[in-house]
Amino acid sequence: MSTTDPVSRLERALAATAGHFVVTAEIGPPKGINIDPVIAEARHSLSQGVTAVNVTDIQTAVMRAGSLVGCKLLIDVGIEPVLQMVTRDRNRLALQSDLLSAYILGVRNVLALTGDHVAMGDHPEAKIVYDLDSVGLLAAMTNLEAGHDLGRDLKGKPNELDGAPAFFKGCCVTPCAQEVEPQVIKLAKKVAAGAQFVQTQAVYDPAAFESFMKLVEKYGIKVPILVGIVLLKNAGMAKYMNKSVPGVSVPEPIIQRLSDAAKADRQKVAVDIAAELVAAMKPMCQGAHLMTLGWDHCVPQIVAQAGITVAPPAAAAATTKPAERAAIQLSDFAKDSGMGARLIDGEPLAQEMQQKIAVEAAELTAKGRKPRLVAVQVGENPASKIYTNMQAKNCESVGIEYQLLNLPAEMMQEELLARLAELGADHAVTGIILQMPLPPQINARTVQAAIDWRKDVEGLHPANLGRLLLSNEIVAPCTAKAAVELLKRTCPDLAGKETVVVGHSEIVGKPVAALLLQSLNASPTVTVCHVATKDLAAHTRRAEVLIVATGVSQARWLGYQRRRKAGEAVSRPDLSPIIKADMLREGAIVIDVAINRIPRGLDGAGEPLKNAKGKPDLVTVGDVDFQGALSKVAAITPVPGGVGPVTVAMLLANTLACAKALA
Amino acid sequence: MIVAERKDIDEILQLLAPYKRVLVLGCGSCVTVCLTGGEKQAEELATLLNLAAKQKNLPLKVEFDCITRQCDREFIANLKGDLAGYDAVLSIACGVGVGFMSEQFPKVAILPGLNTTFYGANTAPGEWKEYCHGCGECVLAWTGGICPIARCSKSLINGTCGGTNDGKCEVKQEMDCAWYLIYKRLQELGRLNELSTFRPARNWSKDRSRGVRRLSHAELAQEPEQEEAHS
Repeated sequence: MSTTDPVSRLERALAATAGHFVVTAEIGPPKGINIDPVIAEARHSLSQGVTAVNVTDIQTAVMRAGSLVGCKLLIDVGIEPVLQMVTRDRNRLALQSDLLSAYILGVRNVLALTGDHVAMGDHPEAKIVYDLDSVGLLAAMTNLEAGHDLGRDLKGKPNELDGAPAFFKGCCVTPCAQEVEPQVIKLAKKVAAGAQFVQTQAVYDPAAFESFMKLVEKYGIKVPILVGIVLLKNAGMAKYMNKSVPGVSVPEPIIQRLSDAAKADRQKVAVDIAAELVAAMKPMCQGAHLMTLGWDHCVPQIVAQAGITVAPPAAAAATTKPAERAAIQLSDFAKDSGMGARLIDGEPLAQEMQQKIAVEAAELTAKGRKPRLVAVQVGENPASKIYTNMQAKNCESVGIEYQLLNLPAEMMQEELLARLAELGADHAVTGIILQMPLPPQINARTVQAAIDWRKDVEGLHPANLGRLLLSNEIVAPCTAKAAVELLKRTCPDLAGKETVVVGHSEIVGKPVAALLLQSLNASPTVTVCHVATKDLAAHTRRAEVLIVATGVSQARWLGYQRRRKAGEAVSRPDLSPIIKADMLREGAIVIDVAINRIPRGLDGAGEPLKNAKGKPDLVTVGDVDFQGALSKVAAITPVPGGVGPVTVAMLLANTLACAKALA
Repeated sequence: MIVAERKDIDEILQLLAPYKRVLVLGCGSCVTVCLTGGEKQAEELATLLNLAAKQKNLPLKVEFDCITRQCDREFIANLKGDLAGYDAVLSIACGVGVGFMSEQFPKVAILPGLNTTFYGANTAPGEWKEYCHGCGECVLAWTGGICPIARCSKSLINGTCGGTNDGKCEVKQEMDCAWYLIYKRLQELGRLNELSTFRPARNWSKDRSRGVRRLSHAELAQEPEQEEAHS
């Protein structure tokens, strides 16, 4: 194995010291030019929990768009690809040339394959090439890495490359071939030729896989192996594979389960089978390669059900105890609180994100593109001070440079616009954030829209909000993204779920709805309630997923104080949560986005109760009756500690995303 | 030996459409052995063509002849008549015979009556199978005498692919997987280490990649003929 630094995330994740169980998935480019849905679906379903995504190369010799373009588009949306490369269609000139092209475009993982014979595909009259075989292709890659191609110059010396690539090189093997030894002998040759990881052909028989792994050990093969699973969508497909796919054998009980399943349950059964297989073979290998043939949306559920902790692994082993009252399937992300509902804790996710951001920020810095966030503050504000101090600390902890630009409170809008234009033009600045509140002479929307959209780390610029609707966003409003991310982690399969969003603000409600509607065929059914909604409870009571972001209690408290100060007659405000326990559906998942800082109670004079120090006794609560919810719902975010920490991490993630897109 | 199959009769009739007097010329070597181009087949084909001509009311008159080898000057003298006396000659030799005869009789239209298919051997009554591809760089020494270039559908050189299917090739159920055969043979011979040896990228320039191939024994060489231009 390579002793140099890992060239890809996949290599890093599979490094022996990492000790994670790694999941890879697979997409196939279309027969035609409409690749956007494929990429959007991958982005929706394969961005989390999956380390890398293979892009097939004219799979089964059926003509379609190429692997390289799929890889490039995945890179553009932040997914690490594995370039599949078959030797069927290109000779050594084209293979080596395409390897260089792939490296130039940012591809680092390559899976070398011989490729199905053209006789298996839809152009059986085509001329086959097979100038190299898979072993030869691996050797060619190793050669390229050493700075040479397979040719020779006029003096007979190996040609020198003008810059050598470095790949993480993979190969395939068929563990359940009837005669397995020749497979393992060839695998050993592939490893000797440079293969650093293995993704296997589909395996449905853990016992056969175990004996294969023993043979692998006997042959001294030490590279990480990801067991392949093709998602069996129905019994017909399983039978077809038994009949027509060499080296794949689906046991009869699995076929039986698929044929017994009612049509409506088939997808669930397919996911169950895949997850059980992964769970069974997990102890024998280093990862799983999930080939879902277009059903990308099943991947998160398989990962969750197979009990795979997303890297980096959580300190404590996740309990697999299901939430008894869950109307919907939950992952192990939300932990048993001992109080009834599971708690959706934002801290571990925030930490996981920050670790990942730190690694990527370091990569950018190493390339001379250190992310740099400039916070623009107009006028002094004690509350903002606390906030900017925290921003500075967080940025520093992940290796993002932070600069606070303090501008005078009397600054006119035109001057501020000019300053923002300067920051937009400054190449060293990769992110800009505008601190609220702004003085009255400045219109927040106008100024927000004047920030270079590529540096808008809050995702509030019209261009970024527009991209969000088109599902090709680089960044999205932090709070909304945090809420959706926690939800997806808790419940990977949201397809068709009755989801009610309460609040239709630009920073939460609207972008939450947009984010939830990004999948073509696995989106929840979203209802957005707001101030004009006639019967809020009627909506929330049928919500399998409830996302609340109103901050009504806080607004009432602030309004009450202001009017009292102004000497107006004002009645006692209702500071109780807007969502009462009786408005919740049994077994729902609740994401409480609001952070209300309000008094624990009011005294007889309408003044806030005081704490031991004689100060107003303020508490931080959400929009939902948390205590009441605990005995009713399946899972809920605490406030504080739920969406909040993830929002903070999301700002860093956005900052990194901007820097990456600019780099 | 070289194995060939006869072209479809309709295709042959189409080839002969412009001609009236035609000679079917058999070859007494390989194609006689594989029962597609010998004297007997020449006679049968001539009869068949005359019959078809009569049926379709075509002005076609077909005779037949056969010489020992169409790829050798020595046997041309054995032709019964002058080829120039025919509008066209339908050669049912392999492609070598057709090409060589065309070179010898540049003014006569020499047409192919067979499709030349492979180098093979008779493996069962009425059955011939491919054994060699004429790749120019023989590997049989380390493959137990079983040629992966000719007999693996992908001409792989480092062992079996994922398409091996219970000893058969996924391309055709009735076709053996060459690498399965090689594995079994080497196992029997106690030489599985051959299978573990890395075989680097092949030199395909000795195959067909560089145009016409030529064998010359220097000690027997005369002035070479004018070579056709190939790129």
